[in-house]
Amino acid sequence: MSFNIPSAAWFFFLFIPLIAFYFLKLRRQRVEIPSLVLWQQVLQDSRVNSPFQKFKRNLLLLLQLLLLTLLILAAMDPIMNGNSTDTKLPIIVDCSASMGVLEDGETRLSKVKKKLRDLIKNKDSDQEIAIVSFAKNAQKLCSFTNNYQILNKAIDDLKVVDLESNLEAALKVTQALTKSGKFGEVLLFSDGNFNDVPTFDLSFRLNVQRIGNSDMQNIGISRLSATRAGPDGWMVFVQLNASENYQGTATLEIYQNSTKVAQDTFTAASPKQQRLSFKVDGSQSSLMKVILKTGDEDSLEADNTAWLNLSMARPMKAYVSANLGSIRSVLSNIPGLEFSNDPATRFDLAVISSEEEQAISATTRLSVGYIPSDLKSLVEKESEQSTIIDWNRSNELLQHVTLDDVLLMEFYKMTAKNRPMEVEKKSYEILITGEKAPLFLKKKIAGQTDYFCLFNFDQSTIPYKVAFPILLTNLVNESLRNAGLAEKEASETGFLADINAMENTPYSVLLPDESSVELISDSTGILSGIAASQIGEYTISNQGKEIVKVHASLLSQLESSLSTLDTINFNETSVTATGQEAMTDQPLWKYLAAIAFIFLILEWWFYQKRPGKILT
Amino acid sequence: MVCWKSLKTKMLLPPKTCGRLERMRFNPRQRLTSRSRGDHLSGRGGNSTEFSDYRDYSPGDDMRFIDWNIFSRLQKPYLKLFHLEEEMNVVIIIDASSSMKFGSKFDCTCKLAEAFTTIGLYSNEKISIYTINDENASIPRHIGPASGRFNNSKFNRFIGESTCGGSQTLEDGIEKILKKHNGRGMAIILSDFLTAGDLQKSFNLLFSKGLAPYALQILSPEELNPELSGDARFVDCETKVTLDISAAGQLTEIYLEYLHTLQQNISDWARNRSGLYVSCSSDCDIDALLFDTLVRRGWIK
Repeated sequence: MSFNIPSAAWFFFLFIPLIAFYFLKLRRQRVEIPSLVLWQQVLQDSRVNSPFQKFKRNLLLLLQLLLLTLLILAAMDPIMNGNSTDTKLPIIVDCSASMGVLEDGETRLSKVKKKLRDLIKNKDSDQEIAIVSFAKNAQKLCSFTNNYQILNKAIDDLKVVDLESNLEAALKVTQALTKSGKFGEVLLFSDGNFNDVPTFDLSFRLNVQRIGNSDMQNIGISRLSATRAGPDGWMVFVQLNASENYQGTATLEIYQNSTKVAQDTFTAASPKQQRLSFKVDGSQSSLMKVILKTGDEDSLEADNTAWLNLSMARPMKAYVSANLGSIRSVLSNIPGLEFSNDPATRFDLAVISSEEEQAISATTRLSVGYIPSDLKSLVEKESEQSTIIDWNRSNELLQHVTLDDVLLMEFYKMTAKNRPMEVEKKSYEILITGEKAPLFLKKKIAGQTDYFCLFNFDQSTIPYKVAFPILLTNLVNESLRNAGLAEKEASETGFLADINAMENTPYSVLLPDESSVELISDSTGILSGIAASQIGEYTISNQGKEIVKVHASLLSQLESSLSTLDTINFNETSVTATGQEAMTDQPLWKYLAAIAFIFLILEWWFYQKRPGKILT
Repeated sequence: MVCWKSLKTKMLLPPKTCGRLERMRFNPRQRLTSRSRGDHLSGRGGNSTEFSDYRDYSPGDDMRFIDWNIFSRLQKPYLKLFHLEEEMNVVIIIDASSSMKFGSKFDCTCKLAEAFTTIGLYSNEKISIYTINDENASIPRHIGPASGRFNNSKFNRFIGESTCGGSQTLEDGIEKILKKHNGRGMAIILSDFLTAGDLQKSFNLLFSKGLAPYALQILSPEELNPELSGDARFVDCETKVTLDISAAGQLTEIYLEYLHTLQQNISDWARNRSGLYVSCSSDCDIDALLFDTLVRRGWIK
């Protein structure tokens, strides 16, 4: 315990006049009575002269001294020192979706805000606090400061976002605060709904303050996807996740373009994780909206709605250059492909063999047997034999493809002093590397995926390898995915998927909460980095003209389960959450003042409980 | 010529009460009478009209007291004996010290003194009144002894002219009264008896002088049930001595215990000396006190 104003102790000298006045009995009322005989006998009585009665006789003085002591102590502004004695205290606040759970009429985050305000109000004036909020990403709301205005503003900025929590991101941001000053302890306010961080080396003491009850019930949609089901249909998959103690009943409704197409019920007796499937019509592009209608027992609202954009179910349109017979031969054996030679058609897959055919529009394009014009200054071809050295096995196109012992009748090498790195600088991704130069490249431009195979398949032994049909099958699957014909996955909150747009054009994004942000597409015409912290509809428009509507859903198994982690495991250590509140410096003056007031009332009651009567 | 208007005295008691008092008499517990002839029968034989007994005639006896009717029937002289009737002194001692100022105690005292005077004078007792207040006076202010109802107005005037104030103690006053007073009977002491002196000694002096002490303690309601609180400095109205009291409210119970003890002691002292004791509040109903309490306690009949 310490005192903020120790100089107020000088007031203890007031004891002297108090005692002097008391014994001078300046306040005694003179009462004339007929005779003192009986009163003298009363005062000589042994009961009156017992130690306790003597004490009672001076009780007034003692009470007055006690009252004065309490008032002086209150004036000295005593402080009960809290646990944290560091001058710098970083505070991490969980703002993930589960912090929006309503408990006793207020969200968990509201409770945290109250605690933070109390903590800031009662902090030592020298103590500096930094606040970091986190959900999927972490954000430093304010650096170390003891400015109450800034700290309160930072607390005001805390709001629940429809994202799952990522503690590691918050810890990394907090660790970066060490550049601003050393600290030994970090306060973490969270409901414990996050995963372990086994790879993080904890370099400070983490004080986890658990907020909220662990027995809250919830059910939510944790996944929404669709796969092609037949030539004109989609199979929609919905995954529901309920908390362990969920006891309610929920009804799942599926709407296709605002028309209810399916419904199912989830009861407490069902498994806590359930996958439901519904077949819907795919003859037209449609927006699927899945709504989970629940009772009062559901705690989280954000995970009860999800959206999924479905494109029209149709055969994949493919174009294969006439001189690529081997490829056409393989592709013709794959079902669901519709070949066409009309150059005006927008193809889902185009396999071309010359630069002249680059005018053909396709979502996925494979150029075979020539060097793209922008690489001609970097790569040159010679008529020698060569082999394939390495390939990117993790790429979707090359999965299960083995290119050992492939012999090429062509030899590619980098031009003078150029290195393969120069190719990457031109936005190419190298998939297959030859002896002296890259042989197979990938480039994504404005929603179009281009693969460039510099060598000609017919000039290699690849068509005789089992890798050839696998490679082409992978190409078809990739094309189906790019065209959105094979499967669809609902977008999660966080960041919206890249949107194809015009190059370097400003766009306006209308958020679900009716606010809007302005963005400019990059030079390749991709609009990226649109933050989606709320579930709902995001409308992208250009100069007032609506371009596209996309939707974001929570879809987090972690958040829907409302699971709590009592012990967080870090690399080589673990931290257990505590329900005990963080002790901050507590000012005690108001308690002392309250006790003094009680003593005052007690004193008044004790001596004035019967009205005094003056004898006349 | 007597100015009857100037002699007319304002009565403290209402006429109706006085009328009832005129028919009442004192009821002493013991025959304490003077040898002077009066209305109270003596234990000794006398020549009053009240028959007492017969006895055989002895030579030398007064022939006038022989019962001739018996002699005619029995042919034997018997002497007829009679009671002796003596007078009884009633000394009314009024405590008029400063302590009696409080709570209309003195007014009550004067009314009671007037009542006892009326009873005494109308029953042909020898009444005297002494007021104790001036400690410097060798003999307290007094009137009487006198008897006869025609003295009533004189006694009432004396009571009406009595003033309260002074610091003479009751013991000192009684001592000085007994130097002046002669005659046996009863001494009615009207006081609050709140004195530091030895009351027992005063009662002994009275009794040794043939006066049975009849103590009537008059206390104010504030003395009977003090309502005090906090710290106070008590000042004795007579001696001006101060006494500091803290938490007076807490001491009230002990005070009442001591008051009760004092009353019990006075009662015992009076009873042991053929007297009686009654305590009353100064605001009590005088009629109830006179015609109910004192009658039941055997003071008057």
